[in-house]
Amino acid sequence: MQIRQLTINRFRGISSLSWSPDQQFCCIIGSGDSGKSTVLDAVEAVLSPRWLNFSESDFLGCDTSEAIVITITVGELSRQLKSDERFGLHVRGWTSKGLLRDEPEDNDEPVLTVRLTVDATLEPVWELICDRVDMPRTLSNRDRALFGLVRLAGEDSRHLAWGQGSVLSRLTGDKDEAAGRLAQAYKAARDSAGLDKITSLTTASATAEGFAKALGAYVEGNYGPGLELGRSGISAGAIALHDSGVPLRLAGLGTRRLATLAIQRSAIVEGAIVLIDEIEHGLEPHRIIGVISQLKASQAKSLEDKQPIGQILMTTHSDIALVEAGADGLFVCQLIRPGREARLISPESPNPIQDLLRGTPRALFARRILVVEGMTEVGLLLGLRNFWAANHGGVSVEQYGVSITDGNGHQAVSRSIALAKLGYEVALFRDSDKPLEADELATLTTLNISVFEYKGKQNTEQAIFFAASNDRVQELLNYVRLEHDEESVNGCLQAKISGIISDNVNQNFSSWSNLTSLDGNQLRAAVAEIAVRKKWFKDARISRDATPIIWSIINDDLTKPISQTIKEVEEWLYA
Amino acid sequence: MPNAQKILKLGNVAIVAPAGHGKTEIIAQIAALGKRTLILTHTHAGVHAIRDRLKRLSVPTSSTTVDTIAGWSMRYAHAFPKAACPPVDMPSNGAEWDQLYRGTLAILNISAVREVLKASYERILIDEYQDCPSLQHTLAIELSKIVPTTIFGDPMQGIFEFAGATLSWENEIHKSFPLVGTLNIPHRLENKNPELGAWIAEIRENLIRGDQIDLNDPRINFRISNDAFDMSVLFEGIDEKEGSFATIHCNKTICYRLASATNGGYQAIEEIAANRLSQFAIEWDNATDGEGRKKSISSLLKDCFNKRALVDGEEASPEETALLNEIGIVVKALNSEYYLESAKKLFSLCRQHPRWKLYRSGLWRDAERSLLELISGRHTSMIEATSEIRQRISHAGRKLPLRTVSTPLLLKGLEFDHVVVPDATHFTRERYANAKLFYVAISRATRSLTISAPSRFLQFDEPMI
Repeated sequence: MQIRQLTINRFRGISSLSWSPDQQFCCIIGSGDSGKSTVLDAVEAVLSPRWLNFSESDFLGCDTSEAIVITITVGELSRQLKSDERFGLHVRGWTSKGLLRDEPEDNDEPVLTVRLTVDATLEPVWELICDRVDMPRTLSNRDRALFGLVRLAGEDSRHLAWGQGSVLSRLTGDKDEAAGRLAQAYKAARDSAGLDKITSLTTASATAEGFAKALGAYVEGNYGPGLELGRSGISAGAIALHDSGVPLRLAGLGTRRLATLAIQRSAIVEGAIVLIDEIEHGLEPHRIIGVISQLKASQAKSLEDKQPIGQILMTTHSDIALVEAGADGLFVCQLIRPGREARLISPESPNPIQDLLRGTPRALFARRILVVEGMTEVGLLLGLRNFWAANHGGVSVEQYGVSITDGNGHQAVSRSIALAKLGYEVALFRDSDKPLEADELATLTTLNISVFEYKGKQNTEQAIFFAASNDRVQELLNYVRLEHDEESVNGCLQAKISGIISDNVNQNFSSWSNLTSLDGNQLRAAVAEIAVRKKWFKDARISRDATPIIWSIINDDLTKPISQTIKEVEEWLYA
Repeated sequence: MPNAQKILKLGNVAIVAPAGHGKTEIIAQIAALGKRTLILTHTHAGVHAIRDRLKRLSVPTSSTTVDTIAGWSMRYAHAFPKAACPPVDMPSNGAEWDQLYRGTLAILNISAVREVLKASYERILIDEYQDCPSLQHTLAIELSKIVPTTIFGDPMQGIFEFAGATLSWENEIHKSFPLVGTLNIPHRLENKNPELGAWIAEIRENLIRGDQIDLNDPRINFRISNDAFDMSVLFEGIDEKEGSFATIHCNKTICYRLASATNGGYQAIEEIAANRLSQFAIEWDNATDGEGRKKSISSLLKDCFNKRALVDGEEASPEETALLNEIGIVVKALNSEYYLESAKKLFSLCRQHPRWKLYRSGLWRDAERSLLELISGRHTSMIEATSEIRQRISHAGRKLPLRTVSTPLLLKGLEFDHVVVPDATHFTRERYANAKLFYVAISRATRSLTISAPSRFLQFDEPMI
């Protein structure tokens, strides 16, 4: 099963959303409170067989006067769902262009639409929507179970025991046999607690172990059935999965989650829809990578074997998970305030975003992104942010949901555009020595991307040196000599500026105008040119560590182009 | 003849099954082997017969769907109405039925519908294939391209030639569904009257070849008579015989007259279309006063009862006089606001008249039930009420009277312990399929068969098969 379309109306913090996830692996990211979890909750509310209790707080603004309506159109239907005994005669058509038709035509994919409505009575109603029938058909929990939804939330040790309706009991065998075998198991348990002698349970345990290992759960020894007598005495749930005698529910959070996910997923043969909240929860980086690549690989295998693929909807706050998931199934959740219309946007062309993922993926978790042209500027701004905090009661720009990210030089414009199209508020901070093309400027303006440039067509080095007093230039030269090889720095200066020789190169910069035929401005231009050519600051750390000097330069004269531009950037960041 | 297991492994094939040779049994056996079988037939009676057999073989109801081709087509065509454009209501004429089947064919071109079919069925079995008109045959061919399909039928029981079921088995049907076997054991008569079974099988061969039929045979009761209304033929030895009786005549009107002539000893049965009931409903609904209502009931009364006149010197009994008085009062009340209750009373009083014999009890009862529908307030017009009753009967099946007189068309597919064919020469005068009609008639019998004719030899046209 795969979700073809989801629409949400007035559910929790989302007033409306319409989303067609045309991917089998969807990684949903977004800043906090952008509605990611609400999207997963909405899917679960519609397709989960569980009875859900709704309260006022599930309504948008706690206003129950208008009903919650969530509609999901599901494709890649299982045989059972397509059977005319079930819903075969209610199928609708999903066109190759991704449009929904009530009655399928030609080669449309058969899909089913399920709608959940909750009105002021707080009674949820699930219905199958098909305009061709007079009355929508109400769906029972058994009907909904056919949609194969699995949700991995936080703590759910239910699935690690053979409780009623648990996945393990389903893994144990076909329905009729399982009940009988479980009954035998209870008896056997009472008699001897020799659960390991019951082959059906050990087989299921071994199967579960295999699945769990495949997803990267740590297995100490072997999985096997064990007796856990709870308050209720012997019941179905008293037989739980044990790893070398230790109940699996006592394993680490990550292993527990992975085992639960593996077991749940294995029970759905015809392509489960898997919802995973914060996949990184409880997992080390390498296991995050492991589980995502395993999930993707198993989908790829199903595709190859022409088996149902299912769909994975995952949220994450982890840049590691994001990078592993890739840009193809990336959806950025944006909540547009004050109307609270939510959008899930995927990159139009994944390339600029794929490159960004290789560089600074964490920017995508911000609400507002400042794209800076190169490493010099990245370092500069990362350094300046420490000084800005002092102006804003010690609050850093990150607290404002802003991220500063590298534009990778020539890609800065295309990245800014791609990010703006994903719904982020974007600004671009760039050198002004190479002016923007007219069409670039037009696109940037259309997408409301603020562009910060130094007045007078300066690059960053020029902007810094032209604004610097003689003493500040000297401070910078001292710093550069420390960071780079003094000999070579001096050599460059001598080569560039006639009159500067090895004997006087270490004299204070303020005296250079006497040593050469150049005036202060010409000298600054020459030094800036060398700085650019020799990449003195083209290293985020070096430029970052130079910011105390640059901060002084800015504050020495607030009218200078660099001072004004940096001020504008600061204002945007703290807006 | 391959068994059920083997048939299951074959692709699209045909099985020929003469009457009483265990066709329903093998259909049920095949269904029992599968998990998702669709069984299609032509009549609701057929649906019931198959369901009963499945039940007897303990085939889970969830594993089989049994429906009429018409019902199934309606279900699918109305599920995808844009592509199918089916008639809005139940089709009422040939053109509308064609429209339904064309629509069903059209939706089989939609890939989503084909997926639904594949998900719903792993095998399709079509019964009584000889009754398929050409469009149903096209539908079967298209279905068989999606789901393996086995068809069952008997060329010799194809008596719907007049309605367009004129497919040639050799040139049309077996092109898509090659013949893989003919059922050859007459199960129906095996334990009851195997000699009769052998005679029917021989006659079948004779009829196929167009040979003359000799009725003078010890295995049946042959009576020389040229009168269909010769009551001695209909009632011969009836007191000694146990079980069900059927008198079979091709002419519907003669069947009613035979029922009347037997004073209800044989009951005429109603067609599914129930034209007479509808006629009554129209007359009733059009009536605006007691007089109109009385007219509609007395016209129906005339068609359901044989009213014996008083013979000379006979006088009405006091009970009869009292009854007629009561009827008179009730008839007057047809003009009151209690006209529905009065009509109901009238229906039951008519049954009590000593000289009135009911011979179309099914029709009278259906009219009575429709009246009850109106009294209960479930329906507001007699037309609605009768169509509801008709539908109920067509789905639930009708319980046959112990002694039935009817046509081969209505008795097709049923079996009776004792069958009477009065004035068999009338079969030879039928325009369509006269040999097949005769075969259908004689093959209804399981214990005894009585045939009357002016001479021992009958000559039928060579049948189209």
